[in-house]
Amino acid sequence: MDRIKFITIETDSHSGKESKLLHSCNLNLIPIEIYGKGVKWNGFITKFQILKNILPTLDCDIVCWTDSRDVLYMNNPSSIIEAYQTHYGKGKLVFNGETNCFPVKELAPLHPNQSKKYKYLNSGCVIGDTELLIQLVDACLELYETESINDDQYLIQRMLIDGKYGVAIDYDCHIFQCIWDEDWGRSNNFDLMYRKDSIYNRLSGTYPLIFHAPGPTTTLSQVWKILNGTYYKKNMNYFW
Amino acid sequence: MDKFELVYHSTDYNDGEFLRLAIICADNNWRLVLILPTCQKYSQSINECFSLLGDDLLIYEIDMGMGNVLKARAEKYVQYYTNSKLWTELNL
Repeated sequence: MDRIKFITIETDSHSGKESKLLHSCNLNLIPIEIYGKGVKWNGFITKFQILKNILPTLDCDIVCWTDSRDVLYMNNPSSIIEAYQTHYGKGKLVFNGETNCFPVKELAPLHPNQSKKYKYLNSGCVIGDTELLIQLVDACLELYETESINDDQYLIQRMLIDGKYGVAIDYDCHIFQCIWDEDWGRSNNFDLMYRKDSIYNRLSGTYPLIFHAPGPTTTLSQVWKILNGTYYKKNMNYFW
Repeated sequence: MDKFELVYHSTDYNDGEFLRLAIICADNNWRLVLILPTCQKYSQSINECFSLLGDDLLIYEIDMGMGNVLKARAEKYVQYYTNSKLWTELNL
């Protein structure tokens, strides 16, 4: 069985902005490791600078790297590995798909699989081969030297468009679900059916395992309630 | 075939219409879709709707959920799902 590590980067040391992520990991028995505490934030490129140092030290075959402030895990490690190996497997770095091409709109028509709804790469969640991720980080740092855009998502989108390092998108949300829905629900996602103890994507017919709420208004409020078993209780008094 | 969905939006977590519409949906085997502002915990009214409809009550919480934002999202919802209608489109 491949060895997996779950990691996140959080440079803030004081405000506990990753506390909800950690809570979701505790509930799902995910031994997530946090890197970058106290490191000076120099824009998104800082993520790569931190990763360049820590990735070679990780003793694992697969890395699952997510944002720290706007991500919640809804399932356990074995489900995540199984979904990755069933739908993707070796030689891939599978990123979160989203409905908005950010930060450079001009890259939108260059993304492959234009018929898919979640066709744009979001760099907030990825799972894949550790070795490939090491190579990707090096390549992105190199590309950053010649580009003026300090944005990890842009740099990785360029790698996707160039077909490098096995960069792929989880189009059908087998693993990752981006909640932002650009043209329809916007801060919530109309594909999702929030239920008492599960969240179903009725467009893709999948139950995503990791939820990501990028942007200032996207809400994880319902995911949080379901995660904590407080979405609803049947009120039997109503029938008496 | 997809179940029919009745779409309602409100800024009031205790809106008296919730239960009335939930009863109509339960009687007709419809799904009730509520578009609401984000909240920490659902009100008694909403929990009563869950008691009636279970997973046939679909909620979408919207951040910065002012009335006009909720209305716009409800209108988008019925464009997205052709098996749905706004409550104003039906004579209920």
